[in-house]
Amino acid sequence: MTIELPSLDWERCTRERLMAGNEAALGECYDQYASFVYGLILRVVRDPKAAEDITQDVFLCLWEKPAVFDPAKGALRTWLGTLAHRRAVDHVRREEARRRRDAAVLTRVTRTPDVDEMALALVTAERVREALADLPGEQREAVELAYFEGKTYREVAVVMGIPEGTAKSRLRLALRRIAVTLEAEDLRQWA
Amino acid sequence: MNDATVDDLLAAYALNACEPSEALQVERYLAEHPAAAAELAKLSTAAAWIGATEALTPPPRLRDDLLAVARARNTRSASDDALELFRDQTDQLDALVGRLRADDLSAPTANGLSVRDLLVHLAAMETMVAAGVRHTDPAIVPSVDIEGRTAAFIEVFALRPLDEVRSVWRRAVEEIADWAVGGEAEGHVPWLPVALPRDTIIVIRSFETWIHADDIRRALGLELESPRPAHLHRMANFSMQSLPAWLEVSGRPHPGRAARIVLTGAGGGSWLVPLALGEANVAEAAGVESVDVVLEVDIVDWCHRVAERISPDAIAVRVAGPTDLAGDLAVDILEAASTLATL
Repeated sequence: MTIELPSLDWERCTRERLMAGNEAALGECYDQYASFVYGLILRVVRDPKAAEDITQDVFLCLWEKPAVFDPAKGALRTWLGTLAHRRAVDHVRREEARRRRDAAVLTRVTRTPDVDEMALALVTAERVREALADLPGEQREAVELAYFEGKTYREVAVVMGIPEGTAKSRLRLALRRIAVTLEAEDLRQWA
Repeated sequence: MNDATVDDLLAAYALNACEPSEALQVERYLAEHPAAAAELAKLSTAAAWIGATEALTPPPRLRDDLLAVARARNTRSASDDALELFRDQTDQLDALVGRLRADDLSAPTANGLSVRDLLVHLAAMETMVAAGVRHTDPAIVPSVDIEGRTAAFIEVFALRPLDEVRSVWRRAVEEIADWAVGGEAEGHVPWLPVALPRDTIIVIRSFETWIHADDIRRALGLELESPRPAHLHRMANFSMQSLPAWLEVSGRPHPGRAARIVLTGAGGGSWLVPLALGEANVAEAAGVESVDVVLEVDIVDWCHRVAERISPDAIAVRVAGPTDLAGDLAVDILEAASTLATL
């Protein structure tokens, strides 16, 4: 599978435009990544209002400190995803886990500046979804507890009734398998 | 914590599933272990893609809300790169301070102060500059002598929490930024007898903030961070414009002589610099005109020399010139380059 990747030049150019205070650049970033950022955050915090607030914070962080994003070190998608997840987990840890609320009526991905990038992202996300489903149950449970429930590896160990070292190794094995899936799909350069 | 233990934590770190103290140790480890950093990059990408499996379009109004807030907070303009530099550097220092642990604070830094006292020094400086540009009395203590004021601040804050130092510093930074946004063409910094252009003041403060942030990173074994190229260029240009004055102040002027100084690397450039005051203006432009010496230096090394973080002997510089005088001129230029740091 060969994939046309989002251009590093585009990311660098966008970063420069953000640094210059170009609001259109922020709008483009939002159109490209909002469904990714918002969906991820909503899955973790399970509260649509909190997810909106955190999504806004994530994009404002990019807006106010674009210099912190370094295109040479990774894709903007990864950078935003990492930041969004951290903020979401922080929220969960602050507020404690809440019951999942109905997040229905929200439609799937719509207009984007780079349709190809988004289409490829959807394909990749599907591969990752399959890879998650294929993980051994104990690895999947560990990674879901950590990623979606915002639990530390120590809490994962407690919940699963396993030693902390085992929790760490399950998280690592799970992430490595997903990384291998991404590589197998020739997606390394998303990184 | 040994290397293997930190290595074991990489996946948990990528999932934000470490304890905060462990996360900091991982970050320190990464700064010195590129292979681990590469592994983390892979694991972080995998983690981000887990999030992508949940993509969901947010409510339509969120986009408008975001852009409205962004517009309200937009203090940048294409022509205000000095203020952007200041905000970048102060934000980066603030983020660094936010990650310090209690036992980091006593680590010695390059200028002899501990990490904590270096932050107190910056609070002393920024409150003084804020007072200068806003025509008010300096906060906390009245002294405007750099060493005296720093010593007085260290005494005042000796038993106070670091957050209080940070808060005083941050407030002064905001006052300076507010003044800069106000559009005044020039201002006074209390330890210099002349009014300086607004941009010069902002660039000087940014420069010191960057250098001290790197002092802290160096003291803690963290990776040094260079400003982005446009900002490095801005600081380098300031040093070039000031160099004739610095040669005079340091007793090394060479009337009638000129140098071409070429700074290499991202953000670099080429400057034609008269080696005494009252002669031609410093000009940034490439050229082949006759000069008495040509210096070629990496831009980050040059900035570190300006900040006196590298000695003239240790700096990698290529010198060329039509006569034997070139070598002497190069020595005087490199010596004078750190004049501001020694004032």
